[in-house]
Amino acid sequence: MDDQFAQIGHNSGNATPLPYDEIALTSLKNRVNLLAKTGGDWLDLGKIDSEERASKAVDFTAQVKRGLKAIEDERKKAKKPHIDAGKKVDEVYSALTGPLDKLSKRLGVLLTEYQRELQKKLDAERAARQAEEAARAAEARKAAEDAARRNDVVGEAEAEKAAKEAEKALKSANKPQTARIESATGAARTVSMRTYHVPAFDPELPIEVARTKAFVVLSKNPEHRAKLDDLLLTLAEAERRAKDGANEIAGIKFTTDKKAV
Amino acid sequence: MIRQPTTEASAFRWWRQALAGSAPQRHEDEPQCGFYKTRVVRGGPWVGVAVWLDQPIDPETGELTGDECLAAICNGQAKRPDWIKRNWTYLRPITSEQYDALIGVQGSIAEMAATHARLDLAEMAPIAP
Repeated sequence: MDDQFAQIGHNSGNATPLPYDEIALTSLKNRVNLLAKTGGDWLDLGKIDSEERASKAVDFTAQVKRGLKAIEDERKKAKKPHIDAGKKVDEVYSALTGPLDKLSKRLGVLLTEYQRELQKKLDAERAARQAEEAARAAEARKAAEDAARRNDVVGEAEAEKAAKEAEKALKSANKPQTARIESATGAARTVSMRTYHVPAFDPELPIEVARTKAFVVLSKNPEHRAKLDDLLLTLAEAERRAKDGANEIAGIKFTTDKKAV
Repeated sequence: MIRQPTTEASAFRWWRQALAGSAPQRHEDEPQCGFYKTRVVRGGPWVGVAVWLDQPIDPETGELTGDECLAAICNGQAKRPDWIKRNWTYLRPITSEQYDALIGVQGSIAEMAATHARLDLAEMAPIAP
């Protein structure tokens, strides 16, 4: 009859296992608390005033760093199975997405090719229409002038009306038409041409000149200038630290700072 | 009074201008002849609509024997002038080639027969060329 009574925790649901080793974490927490407490005493000193304390501080700093390493090692250890599982998931799903990605790109090539041909056709049709409407407009204008010379007011009004219509048609023919491929069913979005701008240094200029020109122009934009400044300073620091790097760089001033490591 | 039928050029002028990209004005109560496509429901498949002018013409004189009125066929079904007026603003002009292609597509994709249901490409069988 015991099973008619609920056991303690029977309705707490299935507890999800923690994604890390709780015992290892507790041990590290204890170590951190210990180090933090002692560290507080060190910081309360405000200043290291003797050789003995300095040498002890070297060891305590090493203990803090080892504590950090132990935590980092445990974190990596705890995270590894999750990263591996994530990789496995990516692997399994990318095996599915890979072929479809390729297919989508190849279909894109076919559609782009068709769309280019369609655009050519539309442009040719527009050019023909432009020529036709321009000729019609010129003819109508000439007819209006002839009628005016003959004092044929009715003919002149008609010819002017025709000229206006032809000019309106010419204006409409001047409007470029963009090739679009619409979905057959209506369930997919319309495909239209997108313009991509791929930058490259001007091949007609010496590369140094092209680079400098681009730099000067881009530096004028405050947003780009901030990014360029950061990049230049990072590169300058790397150059200065490099074994065979330059000690001085025109335009950059190095300030030397030293820290205990 | 002699009544001449409206010419083909005049009846289809609006549609031709729309296809040429001149964006002619569309007036709600003035449907125009041409080929169009529309959807019966939001997200549903395209259905083709052809609108033309019904002209009772005397074969001997070439004159009109009655009033001209618009007629339409939508998805294979004949439609009355009041349907054309009601749906006119939802009709999107397409070329006659696109209209023929749409009719062809309807024959090859079974799901397009359900004009009152939303289409979900993800659920449909792969569309063959």
